[in-house]
Amino acid sequence: MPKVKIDGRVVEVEPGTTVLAAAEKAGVRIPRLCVVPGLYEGSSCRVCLVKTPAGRLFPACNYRVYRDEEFVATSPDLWEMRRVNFELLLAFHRIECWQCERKGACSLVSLAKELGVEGIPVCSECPLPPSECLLRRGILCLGMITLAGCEAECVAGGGECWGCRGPITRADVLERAFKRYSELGFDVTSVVSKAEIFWNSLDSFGVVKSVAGRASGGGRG
Amino acid sequence: MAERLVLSLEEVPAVAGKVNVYVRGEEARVRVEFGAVQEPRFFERSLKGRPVTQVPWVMSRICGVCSVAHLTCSIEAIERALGLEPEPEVRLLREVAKGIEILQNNFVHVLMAIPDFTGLSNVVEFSKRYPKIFSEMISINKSVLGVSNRVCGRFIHMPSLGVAEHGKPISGSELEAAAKELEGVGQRMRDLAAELSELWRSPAEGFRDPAPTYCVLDAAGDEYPFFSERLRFSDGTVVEAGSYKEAIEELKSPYSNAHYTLYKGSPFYVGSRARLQAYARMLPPEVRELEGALRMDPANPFDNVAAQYIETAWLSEVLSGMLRELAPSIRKAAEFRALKDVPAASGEGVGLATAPRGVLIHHYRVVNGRLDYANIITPTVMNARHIEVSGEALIRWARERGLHDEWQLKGLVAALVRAYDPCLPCSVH
Repeated sequence: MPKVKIDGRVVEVEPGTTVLAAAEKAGVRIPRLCVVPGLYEGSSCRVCLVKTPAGRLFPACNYRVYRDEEFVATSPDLWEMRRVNFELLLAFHRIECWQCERKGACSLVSLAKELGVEGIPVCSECPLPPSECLLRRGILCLGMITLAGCEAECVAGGGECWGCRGPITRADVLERAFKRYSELGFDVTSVVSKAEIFWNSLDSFGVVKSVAGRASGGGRG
Repeated sequence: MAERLVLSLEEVPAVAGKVNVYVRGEEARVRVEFGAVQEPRFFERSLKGRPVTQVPWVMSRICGVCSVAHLTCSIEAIERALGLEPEPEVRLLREVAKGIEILQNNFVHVLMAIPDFTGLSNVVEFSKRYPKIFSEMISINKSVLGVSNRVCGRFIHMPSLGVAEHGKPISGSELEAAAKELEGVGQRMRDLAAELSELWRSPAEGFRDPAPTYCVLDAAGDEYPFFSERLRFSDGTVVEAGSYKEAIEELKSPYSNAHYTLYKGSPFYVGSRARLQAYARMLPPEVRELEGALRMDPANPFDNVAAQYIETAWLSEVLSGMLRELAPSIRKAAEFRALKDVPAASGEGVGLATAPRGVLIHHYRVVNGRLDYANIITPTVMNARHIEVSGEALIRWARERGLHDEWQLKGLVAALVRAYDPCLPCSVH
């Protein structure tokens, strides 16, 4: 049986085993998005990139091993490439976690966190289902425009999000969020006023104010 | 001619924040300067014009140690300014939140100050010398934090508390469990006191307070006053919240970034020692026994630490009783959010809260639902001048007993400052 060395760990595998399966056997974590064993192995997301010591890149889900080989699965350049690939995919996703029933069970959200991709709002971690959203009850929550990562601790504790983790800067997400605020009857200026409390000294707040200005009909704000 | 600098303590250790203490003058007549050196943060001015619903959440950021005191006192002031009346359950849960904070803050401070009462130099040394007592104290603190998380969402900047609301859904069984946990804390504290009793030695036994006037919240009946509408001074004077400025004179200090206060032109003190004296009649017998175990002398400022320990044991019983009372009738907290739409009204209100370190005052004027004026007086500001006069008396007292060594005097003054449990971030709000 061929021996596969991944990040210095050696495992013996059946000929034809994918690098992804070999890595799992070796206890090396490789992020992935599109692969569903037995159902889809088309290697279209390219998030599971690995490389040979010589630097040749492969998708781990679709490269099969028939002889002794060595791979690198953990290196800064690999993580950067995975992040860029995922960011490009996520650009096509309509991020509206506030309306999504999947919440924490979403692989996009968990991968975005793992790869450090920006654009996921606190709503993705909110324990309340969309039907019980605080915004629907007239409570101005900043979860839609605030970066995820806190496990929505304030909402879980009985309050609303005040934006302490900083703003999302992806314009399309902000645009949809401000549209939603308007639909639910919140004045855009009141949203910005509340956001000022934690964000006033942040450069990234300029992006939020710019999108808010357009949303309220004030041109390029 | 400039006064001679006798002692200099820069950044007194084991207190919340930064404070420098200088002792100036000659042998017979020394003057102590308690100088908060942290930068002022202008909370009162920076919130002018903000919607009042946002004010408590920001005010709680005055201090990460006693955030609940500022949060709840701010809420009380706004409710009084706007004439809002919270639901009884909301008020009770708010009192529980406040009580848990006093309990936890007191207990942690006892841990910080315990080396002064056991003849050791710091907490690390204490933990090595008495690992069993130390780990029990850490474990008790953990239990209290667990109760806080269960009832109020989390311990710091509690998200469940708001103007006329309590946002965390909570069930009767959860309240029962929290009550049971707190009962256990009370028992464990009484057991621990028996062990501490053998180690506990006051750093200045027999030292008497030179200015015995104190201030607490006026208690209605025999209920611990977490909030009140009146202040009570030890000379029997009762002052309505709205008239606090007539009794308490707030003054600027030439050497401190914090203000200081006087009552009838003299210093006064606030905190656990004041509360135990004022509310002595309410103490249950099993808690009163702790006064003997820790040899508490109410006239000795150092014994504020013993008072904190005793108050903690007392509060665990008070709070467990409150939670048990609330458990059968609690409704889903989400229902309390009905008053979330705070009217854009105008008015003026003063909130009085018992903070861990003493009386806390938040005074607001609201115009059309926005904050127009704010004045905050914190317990450390009230204690500032009292710490100075106590320090002066302590140096005289120590010298009369032949203590002239600079390092020993420094240690004694630092222990005195710690005993007041000052919170400097609060004082320079």
